[in-house]
Amino acid sequence: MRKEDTVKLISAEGFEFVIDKEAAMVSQTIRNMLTSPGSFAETEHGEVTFPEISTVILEKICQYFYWSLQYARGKETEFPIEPELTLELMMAANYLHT
Amino acid sequence: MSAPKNRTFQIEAFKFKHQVGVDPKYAEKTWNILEHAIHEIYNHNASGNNFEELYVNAYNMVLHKFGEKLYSGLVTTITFHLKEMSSSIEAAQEGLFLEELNSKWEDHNKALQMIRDIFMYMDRTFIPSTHKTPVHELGLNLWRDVVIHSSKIQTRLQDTLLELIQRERDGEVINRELMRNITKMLMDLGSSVYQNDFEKQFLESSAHFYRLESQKFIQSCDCMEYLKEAERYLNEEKERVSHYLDAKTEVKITNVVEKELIESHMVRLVHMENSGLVNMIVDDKYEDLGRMYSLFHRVPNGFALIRDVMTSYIQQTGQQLVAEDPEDFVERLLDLKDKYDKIIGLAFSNDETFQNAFNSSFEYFIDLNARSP
Repeated sequence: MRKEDTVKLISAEGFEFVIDKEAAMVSQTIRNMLTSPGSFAETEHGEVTFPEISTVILEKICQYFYWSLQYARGKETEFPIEPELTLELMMAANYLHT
Repeated sequence: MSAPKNRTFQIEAFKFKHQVGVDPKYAEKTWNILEHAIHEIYNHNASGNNFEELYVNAYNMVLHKFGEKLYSGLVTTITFHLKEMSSSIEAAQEGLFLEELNSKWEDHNKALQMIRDIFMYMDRTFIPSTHKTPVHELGLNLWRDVVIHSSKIQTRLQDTLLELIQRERDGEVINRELMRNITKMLMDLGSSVYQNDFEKQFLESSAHFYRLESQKFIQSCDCMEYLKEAERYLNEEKERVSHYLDAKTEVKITNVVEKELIESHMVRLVHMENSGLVNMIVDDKYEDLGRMYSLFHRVPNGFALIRDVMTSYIQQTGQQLVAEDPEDFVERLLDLKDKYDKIIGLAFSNDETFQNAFNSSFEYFIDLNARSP
């Protein structure tokens, strides 16, 4: 993956997930962050820190992004969610506007 | 996201990652961070700020039911900055007023966008449920109320705009792009703002201007020159609208020009000595006749006037011809018909009503002649 098309998402524990920008923009919040006119630190370095989201949840969310792109292209599979994660996942989804 | 499978499970106590209390002190602290950020944004100091941190602060405030504090704090802070901008605009020197206004407007817009992005969570959740104005609209309304409608700025803005337009009418070159930015700003604030703060006065002062101009011209020009001037003015106004006014103004200003330049002086023009309609017909002035046709077309009763005068003239000449009863009567008659056919074709776009009027007047005086079959 080329550097310019990716963005780094960092979890509360410091884990770094490097994903395509297209995938990250499934989240409205991230999309706004990256396209905001102000020169915020995020747009400069291409990385966003989420001190409130744990690694496990962030990993699931990244998976969700890719699944969502696939689904939009016609590949209608299921997205498995472990029940233990649901509550935190929902909070994160609300936060990220996904 | 898709719903989880139905299975009994234990929900662990959900712990907030941060020490987030629901006490007002926390809210105060959070708000201060945000307020500081807004100040930075308006002072062009925002680079290097961590968007996520600000976003999460706004998010937390709304989540813990401090949305009201957030919203009213936002209003106060923006108002404070707008008042500052307002003073700086008021203090601008002659000639730099519009530029200052425009540059502050651009600053405000940029800041507003950034603020809206940070407060997006509030926009999404708190505002719909409390029916308050969304951030972007709020920013526009505040701009309108604090800056545009401030007593010193409102009149100065209107006067400056009108003065520049008048200077352009007198032949000066003005900064059209700046004008366009300003009128666009007024439209962005709402078409009623555009109309009340600018358009109404514009139409009124233009009417006044054209009334005076037409008086001047009608004394000094003959009909054909006058019509040329009228056409030139109409084109000029149309071009003005396309360059820096809102498209909807075109119809209104055109009506004003038509009324003052043409409608008020229609009758006098048509009957003008040595250059009126009759003279044009006699001298076969097709271009001028065509111009009169297209200009009078725009005003009510314009056509009727031309038609009536033409008809009575035809009847008059016809009657004369009949009375004289010369040798080549028929030939002269045919000449007359050719002449008018040409006029109607070249100048009046083969307008049927004119053709009919012509035919009936011809019939009228032919009937007078006992000799015609």
